[in-house]
Amino acid sequence: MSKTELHQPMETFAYDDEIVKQFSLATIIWGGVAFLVGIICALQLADWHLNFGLSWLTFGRLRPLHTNAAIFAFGGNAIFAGIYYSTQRLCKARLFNDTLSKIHFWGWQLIIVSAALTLPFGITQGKEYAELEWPIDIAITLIWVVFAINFFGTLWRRREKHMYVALWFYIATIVTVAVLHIVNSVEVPVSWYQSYPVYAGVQDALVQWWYGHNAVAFFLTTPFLGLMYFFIPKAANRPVYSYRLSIVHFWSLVFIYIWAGPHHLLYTALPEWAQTLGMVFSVMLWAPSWGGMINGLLTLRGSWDKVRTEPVLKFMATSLTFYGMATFEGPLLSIKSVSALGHYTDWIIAHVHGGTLGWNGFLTFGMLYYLVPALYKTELYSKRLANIHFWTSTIGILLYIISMWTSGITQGLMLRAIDSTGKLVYPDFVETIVRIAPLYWIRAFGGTLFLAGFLVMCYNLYKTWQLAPKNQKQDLYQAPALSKAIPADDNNSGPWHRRLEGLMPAFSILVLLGIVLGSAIEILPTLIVHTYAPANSKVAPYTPLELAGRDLYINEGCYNCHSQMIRTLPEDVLRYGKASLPEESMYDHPFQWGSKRTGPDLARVGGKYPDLWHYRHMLDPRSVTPNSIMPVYPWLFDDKTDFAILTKKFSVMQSLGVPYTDDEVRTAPETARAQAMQIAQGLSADSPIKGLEDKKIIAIIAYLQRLGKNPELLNAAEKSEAQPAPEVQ
Amino acid sequence: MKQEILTQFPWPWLPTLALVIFFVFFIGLLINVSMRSRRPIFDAAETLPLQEAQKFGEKL
Repeated sequence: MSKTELHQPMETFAYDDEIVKQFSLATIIWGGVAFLVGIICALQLADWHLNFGLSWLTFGRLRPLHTNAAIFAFGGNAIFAGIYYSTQRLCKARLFNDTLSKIHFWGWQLIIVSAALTLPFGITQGKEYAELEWPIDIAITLIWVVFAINFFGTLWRRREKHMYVALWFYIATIVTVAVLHIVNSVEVPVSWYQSYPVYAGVQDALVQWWYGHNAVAFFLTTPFLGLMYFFIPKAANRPVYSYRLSIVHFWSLVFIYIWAGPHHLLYTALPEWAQTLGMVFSVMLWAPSWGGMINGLLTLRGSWDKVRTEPVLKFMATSLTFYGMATFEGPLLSIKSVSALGHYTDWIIAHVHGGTLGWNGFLTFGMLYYLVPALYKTELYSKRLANIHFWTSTIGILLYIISMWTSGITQGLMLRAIDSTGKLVYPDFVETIVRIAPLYWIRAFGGTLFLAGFLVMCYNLYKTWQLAPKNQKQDLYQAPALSKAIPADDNNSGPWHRRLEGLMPAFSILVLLGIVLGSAIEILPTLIVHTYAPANSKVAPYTPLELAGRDLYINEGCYNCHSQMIRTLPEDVLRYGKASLPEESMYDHPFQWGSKRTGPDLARVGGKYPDLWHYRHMLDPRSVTPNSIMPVYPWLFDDKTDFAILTKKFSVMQSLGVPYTDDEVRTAPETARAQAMQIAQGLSADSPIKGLEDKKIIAIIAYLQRLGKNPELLNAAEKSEAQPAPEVQ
Repeated sequence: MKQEILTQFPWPWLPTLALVIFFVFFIGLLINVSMRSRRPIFDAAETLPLQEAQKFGEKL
């Protein structure tokens, strides 16, 4: 203690560890759910029968449940457990308010339950990692504010002047996630369970992937780095390797990460300057990421023997290794030529799961192995079981990522293979699926091993809890009150960053400025331009029936497997048609470019097949495409389209700038019924199919037949490309 | 058509500006943290997670 602190009165307090215990238990429960749903999804890709023909169990609806459960339920609860434990100890203060802690906990669990009750039933916004509908978005905002007040209030009341590096990462997380969530969730409700985002097409793509990549950055990276900076030194009983490096690491990471989003949109209709920006900053991101990894690993210097014997350190050191791997692979994938091969394939899935299972999963397990014995004042029940967990899960992760690397690169190479005559070597998309399908079984097995290891941990921690002494008294602590004066012998003459650490509001504002600057430069130019289409644009907005079909496409999660973005690459153009133009999706609220091709791209599927083909395809994909792994959709043939709500949908779209007339809004249901009758009569003429005019399948057919059919637009584009480029002013 | 769209985004210098802003900031940061006089303070900060609050009743 400094001389100043010695003269301050000692204050007695107790840490709130009950909330940490609650969040830790929630982490374990939701982790089990997330991993189990992930395995179900993996098995469904290996064998389509496992969709069971049930609407609430199809892959398209379960995959968002898996991602939300893994990121926000498992990851979120883990973050809160670790942040609340470490913040109290770094601040030498109890959490700001017990009631806020309880609201935070129960509010977050309610949000997770809401996700489980909506996503499998098709209630979704269709935006990746932001699928939850608007009432839940509001709940997330409110609970996040509660968390922020509780956290910053604890910092305000702290008895340790200097904010340790972990707290900087928590500040960055709280500030940035708030900005990301609010900006990405600007939407207009249609009903209690549906809304349309204000953004569309290219703008929505950029906002969504600014959000999506920074959700990875500031929900899955920065808080876990903060936890790493606390728990590794604690477990190793060693100081962090380099404070200098932690300063450079922190500010570089926070500044650079925010620009990386466009690397999800390379070779798409996004403007070239935005693509270049994303690529360059993504490659630069390698440096601060490895700075953090090095700082964490070298903290263990002098105690490497403990990595071998202590489960906490074993898991944490391995998590950092996976972090280093994922943060090398990510920048690599952001290079345009590498993205051309890997984008839309399972290579991206391998990259994601190396990070989430290896970095987030293992760090969380290491943290739980530290927390549970510490909170219950006992020893871990069995280090041998922890070792079994470690090796089982590690082998599981390796099987997962190696199988997906192989699958992704195989599929990528097959899809881009062009023979000497300029034709595709594998013209049918399904040929690639046949080749990679066996690898889906290996992936599912790898995931199952990961879950098995996790269950071993659950048993181990349960037995640890059982061993804990009952009726434990709460420990009381003492620390001097924080001096409000800054005397000369304190760090008044210290470096600017040292002084900044003590000024929590200033630090938070600087972090906010850092991320807002990057966000503004990246997004504002795209948002300011109201339209990508010239004045004489030939793009017509969706008809009422097409819009109904599009919303069903979103509800069923079709975008999880099908993209709608033909890239400016020869293999894409040869396979799917002309490269997608920005104005073709200008009325898509939300955009449907997709991020994965488990099935073929659909951007120009309109008119490619007759209506009867689509009818048979949705009833049983194998009837038209043998070896397809797509689920069956029998309920689309029984459930009726909601025509009545189309007036409201059109009205909302009109308010968002889609050029519908008032008459079109008013007559939307009748127009839709008329078009549906026309399609149904066409089907009846060619087959014994009758009575489908009010069924959802007709709306889906109308939507699919519309995709990419803009002949005047495409002809105008051809003429424009043939002319010399106009001068850029 | 692509050229027409690009004329609405006459900011090809934006990536360069972003890089300049970043490098000015980064080099300034490196200079500040590299100064030798800061070392004792950094040594103290590194041990913060290991400094537990004193338990009530424990003597220093």
